[in-house]
Amino acid sequence: MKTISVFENFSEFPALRHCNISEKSGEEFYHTILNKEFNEQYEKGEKLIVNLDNTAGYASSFLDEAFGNLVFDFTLDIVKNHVEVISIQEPHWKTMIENETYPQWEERRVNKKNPVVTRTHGAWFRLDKNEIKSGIWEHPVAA
Amino acid sequence: MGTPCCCLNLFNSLQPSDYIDLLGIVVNGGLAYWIIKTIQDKLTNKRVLKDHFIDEVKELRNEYKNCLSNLYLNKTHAKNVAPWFKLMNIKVTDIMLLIYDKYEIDINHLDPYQNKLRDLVTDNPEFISQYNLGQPVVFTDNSRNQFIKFQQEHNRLFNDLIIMINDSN
Repeated sequence: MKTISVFENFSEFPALRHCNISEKSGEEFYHTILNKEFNEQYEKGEKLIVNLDNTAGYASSFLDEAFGNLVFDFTLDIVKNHVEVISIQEPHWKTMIENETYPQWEERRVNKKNPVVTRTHGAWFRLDKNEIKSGIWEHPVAA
Repeated sequence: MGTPCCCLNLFNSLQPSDYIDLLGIVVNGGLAYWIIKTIQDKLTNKRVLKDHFIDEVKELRNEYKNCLSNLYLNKTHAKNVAPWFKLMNIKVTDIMLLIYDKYEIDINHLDPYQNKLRDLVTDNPEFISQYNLGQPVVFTDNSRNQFIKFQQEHNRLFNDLIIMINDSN
């Protein structure tokens, strides 16, 4: 079991959904921190705890993009079993992520509606045909 | 000068049962005084506490009112929005927890202000496109109408809450 903190491991000022609209976006958090940390714990059969406290605050789009991508790449069941979101300061975020983001992105995964990336990212992990693979799965779409 | 003599005669003429009655009157009187004072103190405490919570709710209402007014007047910097809502959410949650403990009023009563309003702002297209400009966000008429509509639909939540606190036992 490992705990990561958005404040300590990423930024005190998390911003909006995508990299092309703001620095420190949910997309950036997912691709630089969350995907790798989650995969490491998942392969060990352990849980990743994500602490949301002590930042300057969130837009819901930041959290939706970060945790939604996680569901898209690893499936809802796996994410539910291997991630615990904690927030003492703003417990409603945990409720939103679990009750809204998770099911919406699972539906998106089932319907093969791929996530949007707005910057080219290094390889990241995805469950593909029951096997964890590393790759660059999505590319920015030219405007 | 005749009064002490008269009292002496009165006490001399009292039977033991009269003393018991007299004691009963004194005890009952004391008890009645104690009960009234205790109830009065409790009622006063309750009222003071209700007034305190009602003042807190009024203060929250003013802060949200200022926020909506600044949005409408294009005076809001995008990067201040999430921190402002975080502070407000902590404050609202703290007060609503106490109100729930005391009066069993739904802790999520102000949820539209805590979450729906924040999402209305942070998911707004002008807010997103101007996020990095470092200037107050200029909203379109359509967006500003949405803020007014939100206020019209939800403003009564504060008055409802004040009434619920006031009417609680």
